Amino acid sequence: MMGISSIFWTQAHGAATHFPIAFLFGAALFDAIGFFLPDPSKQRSFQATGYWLLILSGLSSFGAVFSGLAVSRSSLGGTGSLLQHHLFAWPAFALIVGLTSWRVVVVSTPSRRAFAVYLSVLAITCALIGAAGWSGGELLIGH
Amino acid sequence: MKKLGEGRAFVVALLVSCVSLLTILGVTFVLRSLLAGKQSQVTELRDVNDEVASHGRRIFVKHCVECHGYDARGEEGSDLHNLRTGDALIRQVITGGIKGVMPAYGKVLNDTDVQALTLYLRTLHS
Repeated sequence: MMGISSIFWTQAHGAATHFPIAFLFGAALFDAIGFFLPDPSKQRSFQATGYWLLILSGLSSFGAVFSGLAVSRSSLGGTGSLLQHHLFAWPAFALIVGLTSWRVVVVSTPSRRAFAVYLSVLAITCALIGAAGWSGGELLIGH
Repeated sequence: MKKLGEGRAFVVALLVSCVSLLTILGVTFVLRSLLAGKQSQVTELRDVNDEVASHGRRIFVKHCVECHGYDARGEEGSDLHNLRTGDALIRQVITGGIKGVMPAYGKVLNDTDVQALTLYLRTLHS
């Protein structure tokens, strides 16, 4: 029943992609708020939340990627809308994994400058994953 | 876990990103190899630039993929690439269906939808 299989992966990808997007935006929000808070203990609380949300985003991004490969039948590029989707999705995936790895291995209190750079890259990643989500939605559903 | 300085952590992050992308590349290569021998070949979605054909594709995704497959290569339904029948017959099959084989969509889709879907099907070439 390849037809049902095809539908299954389309729906699975649509569902799976929401997790890394939501977790990433949550991580960006909490980390950004924590960055600007003057109280160190509140800052730590917000950044700890951001840390775990980012880890969840990194883990769930693999589910999104593998279900996406199943939908596109292992196409890494493609043409037209699919290519556009991939041009946003692949850099976003690489950045999510990179940012997650950095947060996991870096010292618990990185310098303010390093954290500012991290937040900037996080913002770029949010933009990329947002664009990937939008183009993916256009690809599957459209207006 | 041993914590690293910011610079070293950046190098680790870069390496992990590269390894992840390479893993995806490897998995894709394996999947493609596994699918290569099957009838449903690995295909890419067609570039649909025309607005009407894009509308047709959306209708196709909504109503047709369950039987014809996401790539229209045919699964339960037939392969819709390189249709040799005329547009009129394609429209007739869409609206009237094929008894016992394919349901009719005449009451579901309007004329514009049927026309767009037909145009989209015309863009499918091997």
